[in-house]
Amino acid sequence: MTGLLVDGDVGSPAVTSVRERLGARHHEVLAALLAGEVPDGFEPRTTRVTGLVLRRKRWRAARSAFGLLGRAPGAADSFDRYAREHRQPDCAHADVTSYLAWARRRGWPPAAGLERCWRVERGERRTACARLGGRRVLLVGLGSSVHEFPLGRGWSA
Amino acid sequence: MTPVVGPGIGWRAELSDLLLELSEPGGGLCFTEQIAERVHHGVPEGLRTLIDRGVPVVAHGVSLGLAGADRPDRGRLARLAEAAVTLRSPLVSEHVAVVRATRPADGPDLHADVLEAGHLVPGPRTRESLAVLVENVREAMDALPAPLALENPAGTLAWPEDELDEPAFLTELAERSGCLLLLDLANLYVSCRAFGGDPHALLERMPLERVAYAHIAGGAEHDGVYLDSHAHDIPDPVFDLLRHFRELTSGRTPGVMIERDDDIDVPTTRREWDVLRSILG
Repeated sequence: MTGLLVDGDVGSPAVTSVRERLGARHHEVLAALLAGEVPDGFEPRTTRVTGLVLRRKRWRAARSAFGLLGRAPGAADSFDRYAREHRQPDCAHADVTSYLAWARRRGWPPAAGLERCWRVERGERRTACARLGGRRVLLVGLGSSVHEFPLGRGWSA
Repeated sequence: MTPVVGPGIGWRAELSDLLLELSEPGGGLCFTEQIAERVHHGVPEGLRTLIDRGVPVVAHGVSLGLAGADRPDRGRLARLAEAAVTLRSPLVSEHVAVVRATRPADGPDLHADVLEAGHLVPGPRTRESLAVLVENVREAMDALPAPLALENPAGTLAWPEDELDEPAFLTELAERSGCLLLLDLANLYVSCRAFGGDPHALLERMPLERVAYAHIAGGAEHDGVYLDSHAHDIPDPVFDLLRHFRELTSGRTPGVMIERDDDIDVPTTRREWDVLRSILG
């Protein structure tokens, strides 16, 4: 991108034109970073890590929205694969819903139980079980709060 | 005269009791910072007590995306201004970063395609992007109730079209827009670790007379790249940069703040606070 703009150009059609070009360039590079790709001309190692940082930030937001997700073994890597293929929706809650549906379709074992628990968190269901690693948990929604109980061997998720 | 001076620690719920203790007489806490986007959820009791005790609180925005190609969103600007009023902030800070990108609609009946990065991404340092940034920053300054300081982002991304290095870019930004700077010394260290270069030499070329305050933070390596995790201890090279910054700004030392977001450990923060205070003197 070339062209010299000075203060007198501020607010001018010249800057408006620059904004459109710059926006398209930002969009192109951001899309590549989020997909785990390296845009032409960028240093591969640092660029890949920059993309990973963006996806990890998104993962932290999802984990923060739904705490059980962060306790499911392998969830971070599974979410990273999802994030490379899917753009971030407008909020972390929508991201969790979309991710869990994707993970269930892909056959990730904890997804179905987590999806049921997520519905409890959202007040759409009263109870649900999930298996997290070697542990099974029961989630119970009571009013606006959600309570978690460990389950013994007699229960199944 | 910078609106904040001396040592500070960014406000986090896990550090609330420590900050309250340090805000007592003799504790030494000179200021803190709160993420502005969290203020619309309310002001936590501990932070409210700090405000009532007269501790300056900088409203720190993370979502404006002033280095983006779009003009600043009026709603986001209004919320940042409201947060500054609520916190009685003597200063507002944001980032020289892209957080979303808009691709124009392909046809007259279609919407523009807005892509959210979800985090702070350094933009290209070109003359053209600087012109857009200056315009955005001026618009933001007009809408805010306190002076605006802009932070250098962690530079793990170098655009092939870059025309200016970071000190030259920030110097021109401050001169043309009139904004202040929030100099993140840890981010400066990250950039030099990623692409080489001497952070002390870069520091000497920064427009230090425009720096309102500085950040220090920890990081960790990932795949051979050092990242500003804000979840690890502050490394010695960052404290060395702080000592150099202290020398370069003697006589008008701006505020310096510890930033920690994850894996917060009060004893570690207390140790880092002691080092910060000993360096600032």
